[in-house]
Amino acid sequence: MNINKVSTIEAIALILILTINRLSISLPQDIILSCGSSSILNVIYISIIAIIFTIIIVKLFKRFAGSDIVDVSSFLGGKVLRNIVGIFLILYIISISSLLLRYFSETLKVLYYFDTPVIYILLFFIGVCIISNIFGGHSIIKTNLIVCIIMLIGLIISFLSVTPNMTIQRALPILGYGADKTFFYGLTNLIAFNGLLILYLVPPMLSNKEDFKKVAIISIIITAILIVFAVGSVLLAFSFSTEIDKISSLYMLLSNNVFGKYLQHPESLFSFTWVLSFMSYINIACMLCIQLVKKVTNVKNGKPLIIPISLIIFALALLPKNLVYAHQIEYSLYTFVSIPLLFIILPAILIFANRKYKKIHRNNYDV
Amino acid sequence: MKILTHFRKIAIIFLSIFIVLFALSGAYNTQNIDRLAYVIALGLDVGENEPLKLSIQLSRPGSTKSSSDQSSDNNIVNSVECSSIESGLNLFDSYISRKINLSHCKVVVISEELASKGVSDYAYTLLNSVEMSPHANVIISKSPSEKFLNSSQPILESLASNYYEIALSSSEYTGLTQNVTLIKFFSDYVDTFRNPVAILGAVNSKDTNSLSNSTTNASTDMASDINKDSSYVAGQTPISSKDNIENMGLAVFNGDKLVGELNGLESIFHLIVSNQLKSCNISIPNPLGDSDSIDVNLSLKSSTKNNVQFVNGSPYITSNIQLNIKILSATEQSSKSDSDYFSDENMKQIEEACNKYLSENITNYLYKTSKEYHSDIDGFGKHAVKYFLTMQEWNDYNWLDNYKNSTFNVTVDSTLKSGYTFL
Repeated sequence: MNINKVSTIEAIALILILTINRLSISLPQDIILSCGSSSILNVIYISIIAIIFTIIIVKLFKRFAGSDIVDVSSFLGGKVLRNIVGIFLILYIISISSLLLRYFSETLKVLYYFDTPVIYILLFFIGVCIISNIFGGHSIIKTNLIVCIIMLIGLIISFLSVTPNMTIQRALPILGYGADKTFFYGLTNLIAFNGLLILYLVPPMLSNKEDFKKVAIISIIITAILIVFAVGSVLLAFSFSTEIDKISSLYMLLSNNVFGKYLQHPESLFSFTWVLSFMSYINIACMLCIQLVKKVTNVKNGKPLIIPISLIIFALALLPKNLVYAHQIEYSLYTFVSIPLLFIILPAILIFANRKYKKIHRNNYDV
Repeated sequence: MKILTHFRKIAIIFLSIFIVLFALSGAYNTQNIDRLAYVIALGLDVGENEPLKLSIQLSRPGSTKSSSDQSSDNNIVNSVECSSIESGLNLFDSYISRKINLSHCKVVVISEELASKGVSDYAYTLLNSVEMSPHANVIISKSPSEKFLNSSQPILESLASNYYEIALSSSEYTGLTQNVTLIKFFSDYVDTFRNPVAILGAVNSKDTNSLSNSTTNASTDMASDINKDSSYVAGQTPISSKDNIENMGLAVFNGDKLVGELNGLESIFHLIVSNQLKSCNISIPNPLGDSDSIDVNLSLKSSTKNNVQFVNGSPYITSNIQLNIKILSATEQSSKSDSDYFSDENMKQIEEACNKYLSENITNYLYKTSKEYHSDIDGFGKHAVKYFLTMQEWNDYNWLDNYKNSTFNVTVDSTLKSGYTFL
């Protein structure tokens, strides 16, 4: 089940699906509630930072072509660091995906399946996750590409559909809750770019290892555009976006718009693609965990790991008391774990590994 | 080994089918059309013993009778006094032994009395509901909401829900009211730029007609004199029909409380200023003297350009309106080629008369919203917000509170485009 023939576009879709799922649920609302009318300014600001950061990551990976962050950790600190980083990443992916799974399932329950126990909805996703992982990583990645394209088209149509309702002045006062909230505390909104996690893991999966730079830059630019449009459409369409926390901002956005007389509930169509996209997300999370466990434990066959990992995700998803708890824990995890991990710890490993590489190859002219 | 692989594939296929059937069949869900009662209109009023009197108009399943005599049979209206919307719906669930479903609710009718007390909690509750359509229209009824629902008798429609949907679309070509949905009402209520309006409705009966004659006759206002036919509010139009509902004019809110009403003509001014007018007919004084007034069709030539400046801390609002007009009326004199409306000089005189009439009356309308109602229903706040850097500064200034200190300068530039068949 080694994955090493991922094309450029499939790799981009892998990164995008992480952001798309969070965009559909709570991300735009979280950003708008934290920055108010300056949300668009904040998103442009963090997008510039994320793009610069991605360029730096690409440069840092240059000496380790075809290696992921676990391989780099192994180079820097041997087995010990490799295991620490690997286990930490596994825990991180499992916890984030299980919380998101719970949040998403609770959202579905509120909107459509109000009489259905949430455990059934969770099992539905876990069942799909197990089956698709049995079929293998390549089928997951190829399916993800199709789902990602459908979602992208859906999102673009959603954004365009609300254009007539937009009031540009809702982006004013330009500094929202203040310059500090926009530019300093607003830095926490870098969690919008959590798709960067895939960048640390994708290099060995690429069929053409030279394409890493292209994958990273294109995916981060598309992510930035999507986030700006999502935040823009939610902020500019309704006055209450800065005041009221809603269950899913994009769902609300669509349910409050009519596409002519004959398509009065576009949100239902959107929800269907949204379920597909979330399935793809959970499949990828499970697939990445299996890849990491294999690396850490030197196991060759990952198939026996599918059911245990899926069940752990399922069990963790059951832990939060309700939707609000799931969202709060997820938000805290993103703020206090994701940002330090993706923007400090992993880059630090790369920087130190580069220094070690330079030290080792000091006498080589090509360094 | 091959058999094992085949077995695994078959097992996966069966498992997939099982999951899909289990998840999508809905066998565990007993909610279906036989067990639901669809509400097409919701009425909110002040109760005698409880804070709320909730009325619901239900759709009778399978009823598509077309005769107007039979429409009353299809009109099932029930009311209950309760403490909240949800508890009221619960009582209805129990009474009619079906689950009340709001997903096809077309209008929310709120009585004038309840609206004056504040509708914030009801607006929040309704929009919090997954079932409730945010596109339901909000009508403020001058009559009790139960009477309003009981009097809704579609003349040309067989389905009451279709009737509600179509009834308000006439505002697109009359401008005498505005199509206000629940989501728009709520968004304007929460907004710091503007205050909300709602559709003004009432039951039109002989009593309300006679009341309108006395009040309109007492009016000495030039606008209502020339445009008497557009100056009614809901329930006052002298139509010779049996009691039926009528939507005309707008209910003006300050925050969540009803503070006043606009008649049909003022609704047209509101649509012009807030850039939402599609087309309407009004009368203007005839500068040529061959009749008292000329009927014209108005449409926006380009978007109304509003601007706000601050003079000594008070808002100075300018509104630059550009309109296209078409002459609808004709007289014997105007139809003769030597004195028709479309000579250069006469066209100029008609345009100037239109500009003067509209700018004076729109200014009066704006002062009415500002000084009398203290309510920025035209959303001038969005033109003022650019002067503030942070939300704290904007909230401290409190635009909606300061709107009452505004002064207005309205300029109207109309262009006479054409008439109809007489040139």
